[in-house]
Amino acid sequence: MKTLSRKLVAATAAAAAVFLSACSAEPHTIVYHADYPSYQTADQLYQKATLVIEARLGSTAQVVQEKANPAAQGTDEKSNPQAGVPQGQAAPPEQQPVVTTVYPVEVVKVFKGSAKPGENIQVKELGGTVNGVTYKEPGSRPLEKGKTYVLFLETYPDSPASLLNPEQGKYPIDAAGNLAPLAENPVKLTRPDLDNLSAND
Amino acid sequence: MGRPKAFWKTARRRVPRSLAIAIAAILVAVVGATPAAAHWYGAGMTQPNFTIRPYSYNSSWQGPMDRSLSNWNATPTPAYISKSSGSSSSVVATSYSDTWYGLYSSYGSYFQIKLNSRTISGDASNFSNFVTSVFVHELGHGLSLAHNDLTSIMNHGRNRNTLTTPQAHDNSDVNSYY
Repeated sequence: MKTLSRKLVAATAAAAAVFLSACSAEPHTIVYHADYPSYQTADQLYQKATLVIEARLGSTAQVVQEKANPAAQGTDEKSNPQAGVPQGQAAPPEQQPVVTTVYPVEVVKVFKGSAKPGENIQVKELGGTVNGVTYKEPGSRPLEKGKTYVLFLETYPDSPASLLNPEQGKYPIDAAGNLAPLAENPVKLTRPDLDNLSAND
Repeated sequence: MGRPKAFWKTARRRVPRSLAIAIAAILVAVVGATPAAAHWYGAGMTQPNFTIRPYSYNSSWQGPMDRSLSNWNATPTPAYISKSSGSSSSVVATSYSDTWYGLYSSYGSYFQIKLNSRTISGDASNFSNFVTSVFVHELGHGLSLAHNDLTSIMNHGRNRNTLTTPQAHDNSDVNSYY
């Protein structure tokens, strides 16, 4: 049995050497996995979003690196995990920045929130490539430049808007002008649904 | 027809577990194969016992975060997560302008977990359980677990106010990988 172990170790080492040398030419990848809320109904999506728009993506995108929001500095213990921590205790570790891709989008129609048709806003999605290093979520399908979507967004005073989640925050508009949910999104939605939600808001 | 089952059973016992994982990882990377279970996540830690740098937050966060480590350590799996000041892996809890509750970033041999105090405090009805649920989920990625749609701590649709422990499927997956 020792022979078997030795053979396995040798085979593994050889395979690892071949694999690692093959990988050395590949761009480095950092894998992200985010835990997002999910939504069961269109009403839940609509109520959670602060901005719901039909929007056309521009032809450009910019990758940015963000660190935590300094607005966390408050006295509420739940929204600021550092509140009430005695000085001298271990400082938080250095934060690795969060890499996002920021897309300029032109607002086509507003269903909820304070935006106007024709206005340009910024929308971000997790991931992007910085200095040859790619940050990405496995299986993610990023927004596509030049395409039109209905977007369910959360807005911030200090950062581009975010999709409620990567699968349910965007509904591509198909050639017939209908909302086409991504395959992973069980919530079907039509324009009349959206108009109703907007009218009853 | 290949070697008898008994041969492989005996051989498996003699081969160190870490070697088996290395072989599996190489197979996955080279030929795109995945382990038998469906929720393999290729960027977890190579060992189920790993460390994380000590963290210090207020009592609303510290207890629920510590409970997350304990919840994994209590599972019938080889998972064991402990604190060590020499660890390269870390957790940061603070406010982020994004919609996620937690974010796991794999840097190869180490990870950083981010907990978003803005979304967690905004959506939790049972705050303590919510923090634990999110942190247990993120540590699950460290144990090679991917998202799924089952009764699982890795399900996006779980009730974070009540589900705070790894479920049978999660334990089974960890035992499959390690």
